[in-house]
Amino acid sequence: MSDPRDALLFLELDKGGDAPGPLFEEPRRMLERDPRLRAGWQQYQALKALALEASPEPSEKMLRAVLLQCRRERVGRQLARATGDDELARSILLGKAPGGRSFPGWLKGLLAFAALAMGAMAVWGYWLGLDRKAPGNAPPAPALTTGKEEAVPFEFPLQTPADAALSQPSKADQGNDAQSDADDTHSEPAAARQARRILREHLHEAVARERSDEGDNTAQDDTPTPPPTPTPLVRRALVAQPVGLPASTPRPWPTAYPALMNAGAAQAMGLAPVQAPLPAPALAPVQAPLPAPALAPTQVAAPAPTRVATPWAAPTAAPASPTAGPGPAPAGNLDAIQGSPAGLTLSSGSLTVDGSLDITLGLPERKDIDLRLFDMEGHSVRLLAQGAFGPGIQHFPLDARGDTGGALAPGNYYLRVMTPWFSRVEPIAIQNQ
Amino acid sequence: MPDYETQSDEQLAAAARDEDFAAWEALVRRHGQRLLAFYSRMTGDDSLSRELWVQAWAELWRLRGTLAGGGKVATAAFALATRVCVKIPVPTLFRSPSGDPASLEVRSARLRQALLGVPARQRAALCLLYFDNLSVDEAGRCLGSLPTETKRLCAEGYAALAESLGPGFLNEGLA
Repeated sequence: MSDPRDALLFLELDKGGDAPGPLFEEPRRMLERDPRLRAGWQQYQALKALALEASPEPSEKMLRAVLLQCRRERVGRQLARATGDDELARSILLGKAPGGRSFPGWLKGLLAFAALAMGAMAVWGYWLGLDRKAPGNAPPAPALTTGKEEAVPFEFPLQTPADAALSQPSKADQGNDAQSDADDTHSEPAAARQARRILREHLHEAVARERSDEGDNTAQDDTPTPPPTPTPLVRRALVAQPVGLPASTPRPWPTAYPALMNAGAAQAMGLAPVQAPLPAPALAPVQAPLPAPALAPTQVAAPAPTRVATPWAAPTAAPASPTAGPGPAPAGNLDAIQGSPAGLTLSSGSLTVDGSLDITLGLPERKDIDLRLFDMEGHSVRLLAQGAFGPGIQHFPLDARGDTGGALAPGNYYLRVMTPWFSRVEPIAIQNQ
Repeated sequence: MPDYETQSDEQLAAAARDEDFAAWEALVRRHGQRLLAFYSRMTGDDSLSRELWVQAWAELWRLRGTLAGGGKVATAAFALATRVCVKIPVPTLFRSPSGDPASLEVRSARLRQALLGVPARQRAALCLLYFDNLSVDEAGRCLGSLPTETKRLCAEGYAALAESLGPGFLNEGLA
């Protein structure tokens, strides 16, 4: 059992034993007399020597770490002196955002919730889009000849007659038409200039007709009518009716197909200025296709066997109009196309190199039409119809051959139907099989 | 370039106050080994003692203005280390040292284990007075106690250490 008193004696000797004077004389004599104390003193010195021998040495790496921290402290002090804010200097030094300037907790939570909500809405919208495109959930399309068809949504920018009237050139500008035409000669192809000229003429007719209709309405009805408000350029869904394609068949063209058409091609096709210039306001929103007839593919004036709820019958799509169009109604039971300037229906959106495609065009009255096939560059590769056609449903078979009789290369093409008051473009893909 | 080895602690601290890193490095080299040994004996953990050693010198750098004002560097360093180490719990599980019992490694490991069994303040007084050779006044300043209390703590600590090691510790393994 070690005695603390012995340890205290050893400690006194250790700390002051070398001091001169009589203070440690008695302890030294005690050590010499008592062998137990002498052994303890030897152990005391031996343990101390052992501890000192086993002491760790600081490495150079530790020394560098100390100096690095010292230098960092100096930089932080200089930063604090420069910024006048110790916390800011510490934050800059540690590479963290300043704590006092961070968002509060509730604002962080609100931002996180808003981000989650936006993400959920995006996912939900995407899922709905997939669901809408799913074959099982697609609305039933009107039957033409075989089975059920899938409606193909197709967006195309339309311009109402009011917009066209507003956007038509003023009188002063009209006086410069000749000059502008001369200027356009250098920049526009001949086809585009012709299309613009035709469009301008019919726009003038449409405005004049609209004004005369307004006069008649005013004479017949004393109730004040609100002034026509110009409708901005709107996008409406055109629905082409591919026939014969199974519902699961992938569409050979992208949804935004016209957007992929280069500007030069669109201009060469006369599409750039032609934004569906319709002659009468009542006809503006009527851009739905003709319900497909189920009869033989010849020129038919007979009615379609089933009446189809056409989109233009919706009050939002077609304002109530007693007149179906500029001309008389077509003969027979073609009320399905009444109110429609023209119905263009393709039997399929794709055409094989050795097959044919049935193009159906419904006309409410006798009009001049121009039906052509263009390639992606805007070149007319096939003239299908040109001239006056009577009211009714016209069928135009299209095979994969050009005007010269040569086979058309597989790829994407555009079918354009153009009447003096209507124009429409539909994409067609020519495939190998 | 001044010869830092011949300068006193006060001179080096005064130079370090003027942000002379070489003077500060000389101070660290002069007292670093004792301070690291103190940390190692007090904590029983080499990696922790190295980390505490670096932090202690970084803290002393921030206090170098007071060191240059007459404060002794060694006393300030050990006081800082003592305040930290008496609050650190010591490990309770040890791995028994294996090998030759007369070897330095085994003897030092046994000494360290026995030292960690001593109560914290007694251990601190023992390390300061006995192993690190500080004076009674300096150790009392580090512990915040009077000289008599400091010596009592050290004597009790040594008695506990000697009892833990046993009477034949120094002769074990020796022929």
